[in-house]
Amino acid sequence: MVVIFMLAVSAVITHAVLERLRETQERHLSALSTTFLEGLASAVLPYVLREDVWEVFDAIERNATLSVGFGRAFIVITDERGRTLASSNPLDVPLGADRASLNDRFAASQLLFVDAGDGKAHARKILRYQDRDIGRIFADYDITHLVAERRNVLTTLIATNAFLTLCLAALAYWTIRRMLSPLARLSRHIDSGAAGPLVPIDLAGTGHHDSEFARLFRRYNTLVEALSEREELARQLAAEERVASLGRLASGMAHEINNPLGGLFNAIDTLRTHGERPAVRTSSIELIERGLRGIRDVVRTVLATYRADRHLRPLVPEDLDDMRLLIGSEVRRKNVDLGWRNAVVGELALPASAIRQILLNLTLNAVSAVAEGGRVLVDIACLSAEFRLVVEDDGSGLSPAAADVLTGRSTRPLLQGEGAGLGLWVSQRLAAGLGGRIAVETSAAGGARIVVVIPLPEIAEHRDVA
Amino acid sequence: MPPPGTASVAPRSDRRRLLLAGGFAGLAALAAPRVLRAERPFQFGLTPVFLTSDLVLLEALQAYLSRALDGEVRLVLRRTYQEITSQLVAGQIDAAWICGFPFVAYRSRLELVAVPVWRGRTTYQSYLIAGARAPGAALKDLKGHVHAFSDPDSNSGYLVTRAGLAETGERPESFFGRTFFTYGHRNVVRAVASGLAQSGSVDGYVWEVMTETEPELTSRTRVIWKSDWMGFPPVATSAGRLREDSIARLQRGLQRMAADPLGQRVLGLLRLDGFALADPGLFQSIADRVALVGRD
Repeated sequence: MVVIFMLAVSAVITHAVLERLRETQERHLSALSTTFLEGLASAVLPYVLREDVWEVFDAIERNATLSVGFGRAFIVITDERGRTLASSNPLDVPLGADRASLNDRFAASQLLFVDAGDGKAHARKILRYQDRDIGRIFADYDITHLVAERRNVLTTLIATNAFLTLCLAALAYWTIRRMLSPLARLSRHIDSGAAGPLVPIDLAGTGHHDSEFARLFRRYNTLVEALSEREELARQLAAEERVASLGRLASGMAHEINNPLGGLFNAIDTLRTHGERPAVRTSSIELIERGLRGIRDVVRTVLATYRADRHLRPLVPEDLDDMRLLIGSEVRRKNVDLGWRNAVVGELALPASAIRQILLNLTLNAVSAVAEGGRVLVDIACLSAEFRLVVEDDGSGLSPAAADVLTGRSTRPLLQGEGAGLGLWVSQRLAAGLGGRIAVETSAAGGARIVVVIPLPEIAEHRDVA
Repeated sequence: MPPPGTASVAPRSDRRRLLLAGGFAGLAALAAPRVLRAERPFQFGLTPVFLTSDLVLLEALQAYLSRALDGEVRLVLRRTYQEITSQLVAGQIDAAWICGFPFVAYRSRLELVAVPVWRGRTTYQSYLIAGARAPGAALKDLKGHVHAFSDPDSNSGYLVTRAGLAETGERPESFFGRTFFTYGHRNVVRAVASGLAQSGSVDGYVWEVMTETEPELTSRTRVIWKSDWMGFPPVATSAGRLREDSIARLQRGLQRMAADPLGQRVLGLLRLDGFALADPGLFQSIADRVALVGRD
């Protein structure tokens, strides 16, 4: 672009210079010619009057040199009828030759015209004596050196302009490249940040400590540090949340164990008192066994959930139903009406722990969202190619911020207010990690309706269909 | 037949109003104060028929003649033979180097002083010349040409050709396509060499000397015909003055020129051997031609 502009400018300048040179040359030539022809005319006038051929010729011979650089002019002097009286080259234009046509080449009052094509300038001078035309002088000047000079100037201009244009273009390219190099660097850092961790720019290598770019780099580094701190904070929060949820779980589990404990101790007392009676003994032992079995189920479920295994264990329907057991204490505490439908049959090629975690988090969230005696519906189904989990409640619904976290529009966990904590965030991350998505809708019951859809791997699909 | 066609700027019709060019104007100016005195310088006329407009030659000739005459000598130069001849006949100048044609024409009013010796003889020829590549070997081949003459009063540069045509009943105006006078033999060579004229009538002596001095000019011309040998253009004076002291000194000075270093220098420039006394009968062939063309 710059080069084209500069080429255009140099072309215009070149043309202007050449035009100016041509004008100057022609003005100069015209002045020389006028002087020369005036002198020649005054020398030959009396001889032309007398048609003294020899003296006209002699005058031409003595005067044919115009001036330095023009060499000898070719001169023809005619009488008033256009017949040659003498010429500087009689072999070409002999005495008496009709040269009236020479006059026709000139416009009315024109005295000089230039024919750059054949390197000649043509001039005429009308010889007047007592207001009467007595003849004409025609002079052809060799201007090849003027044309050559123009050509030299043109060549020089083109060479110079081309050189300057190239130099300036190179300089401009280098300068712009150098000016933009910090931006390119910033761009590289941002690109690499998209693929991995954001890395601060090493300011030591920039060399622009006070420039606009240095300030930009510093602001970028500040941003990178802030983001890093935020991520670190989020990690800490996640850890804390894990501890907190562990506490809740422990508390729930203690509850689950404590509930049958009273019955168990009663049964032991009954056994101690009336153990000799077979009927009492049998029923008490059964009671104890049921209580212990319930405790065993709770402990087994917790162990299964928090075994911290990250490897892929296929999901079975029982994994999901276990969750109902885990939230049982919360459900009972708030007297929640829990509707539970698990339509999954057989194994699914999905990581059991992740799905269980999502289900637990969303269900706990729903239970905490509803009022005392509220209603929560859990519907788990396996459609043709996807696993679908719907949790709805009749609570007050999710706040927009919480919904953003859950659907992934916001990538940071909410730290305060409704839906705060890592439950929703972790659920979203787990679902996204499985290639699934979470949608937040409004339930027919009035609260939130959260739909989690996770595509099934193809193998699992075949197995499912089979 | 006197000196070179040089200062030929004065048109015939208007000569008194025009100045002589360069060196000649200077010579005239030098002479002017002398005219005012009683003692008038010796006036020696030269016609523009010989070689060059060489000022060196003129200075050397004037110096030699002044010494020979033991007094101031003024060289008088005119464009045409006519001017010198009429002044000589009228006694306005003391002596002049003229052509054989006016000498014969004014025979009764002129006396012969001396005749130049060129290549051992007191005669010369007239040449017809044409362009170097032009065909032709005789006067008749030049019909219709643009022809350059030297001077209407020149023997070799006009009369010989005119007489040659008269022998066959022709006249230059009708025989040639066009003619013009150049008032100098060298100019005839220039006119033919340049192509301005297709042919010319020229003094054989001048042409031969020019082959040494200006070969680039003569090489562009070719001699197509040479006349018989005729009396060389003589130095003459008015009738009756031959016994005057100054003319006698001039005659002796011319005769002794070849023995004098300065004289030798003049002769060297003119390519002449010297001057000799001669009988007017030397010019008989010219007189015959004058008779032929019916001029007096």
